[in-house]
Amino acid sequence: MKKIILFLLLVSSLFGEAKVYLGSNYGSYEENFTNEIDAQSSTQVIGIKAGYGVREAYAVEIDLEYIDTQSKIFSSTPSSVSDGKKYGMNINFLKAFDFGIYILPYLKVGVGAGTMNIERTLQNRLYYGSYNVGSGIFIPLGDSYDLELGYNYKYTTYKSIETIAEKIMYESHVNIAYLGINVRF
Amino acid sequence: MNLIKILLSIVTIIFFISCGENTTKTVTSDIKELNIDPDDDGYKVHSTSMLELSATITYQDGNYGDATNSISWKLYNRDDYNIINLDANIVYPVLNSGRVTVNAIYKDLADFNDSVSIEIIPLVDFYIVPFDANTTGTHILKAKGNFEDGVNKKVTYNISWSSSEDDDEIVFENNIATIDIDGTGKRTITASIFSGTDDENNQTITYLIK
Repeated sequence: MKKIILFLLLVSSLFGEAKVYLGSNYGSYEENFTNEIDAQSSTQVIGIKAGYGVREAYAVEIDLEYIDTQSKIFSSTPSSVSDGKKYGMNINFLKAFDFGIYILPYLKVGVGAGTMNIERTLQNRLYYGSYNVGSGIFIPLGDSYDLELGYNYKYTTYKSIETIAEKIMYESHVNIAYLGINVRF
Repeated sequence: MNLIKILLSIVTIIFFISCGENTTKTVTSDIKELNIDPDDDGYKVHSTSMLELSATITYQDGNYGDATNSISWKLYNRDDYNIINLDANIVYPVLNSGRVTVNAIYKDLADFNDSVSIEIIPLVDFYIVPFDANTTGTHILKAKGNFEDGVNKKVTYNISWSSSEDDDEIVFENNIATIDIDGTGKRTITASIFSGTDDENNQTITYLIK
């Protein structure tokens, strides 16, 4: 019991100065599939996020992303020009470093999951999960705002494509470079 | 003003970076049709044998895949289960004659199913193949039959064996029947096919065990 109370005190002290921040971002999205298939996807990604914590200590970010794919990798019906829209959610733990140089470099790590609309005879949706790592910088713009330049790498695994004879799973490397604006409360 | 210029520049760079290559051809071909594989014998099964069916999925790019174990195998009419037993893709006749329709379907999708009509070739007569059973020990029991299509072959299913001596142990394993003869004396071994049906038929063979 004492250990639990001590742990809770430690956590509460860690987040004693915690703040909420909200942000939005726009970036480039490059996806390359692993060796099994020669396929790639390039488009833009738009995201919104909410963060909580002391960034110079630790913070947790939850972000929602929207990707309008331009590639046709999974869809197969003649009417489908490209795979459909992709919606994802990520939870990342972030650690920023205050070197007293005005900007705040950061590192983050987390996981994500999402779904993509596809058009196939047996499927119209494809789920995926990802492991995420990223880095970037916060550039403060006054007391409440900051500009964010960042890079995310995601190792993505798609749920299987049903072909009756077998279920095929695909994996990909995703690179995202983005620009964002955050507001801190 | 300078900040706006920098931001616009970054956004422009991001936009151009994201205008890379896009794959525009599906990498995993979609399914086209499901077919039960042709049978050289025309989907016929001897009444004391079994028939193994298989199915193939054809893809839009012309390739094929084995769908046998990924689909459901059903009898078209419920009453047909009185004529055959269907264990996944394997057909076991229950009666000595009849015709059934077997349906192969994937997740009840109407566009992906196929069906075939299977005819049971009746057994005309059968006999026990004599074996050297004049001593105690384990012996293989074997019967052969003549079928309506002129074929003579081993009777594997729809046959049961019994001995006049209760102490003799009869085992049916891996489609082979064996008898462990315990003790000496006269033995009458009976082979019965289609027991309990109108097609029931019995044959006996007698040995004197020394």
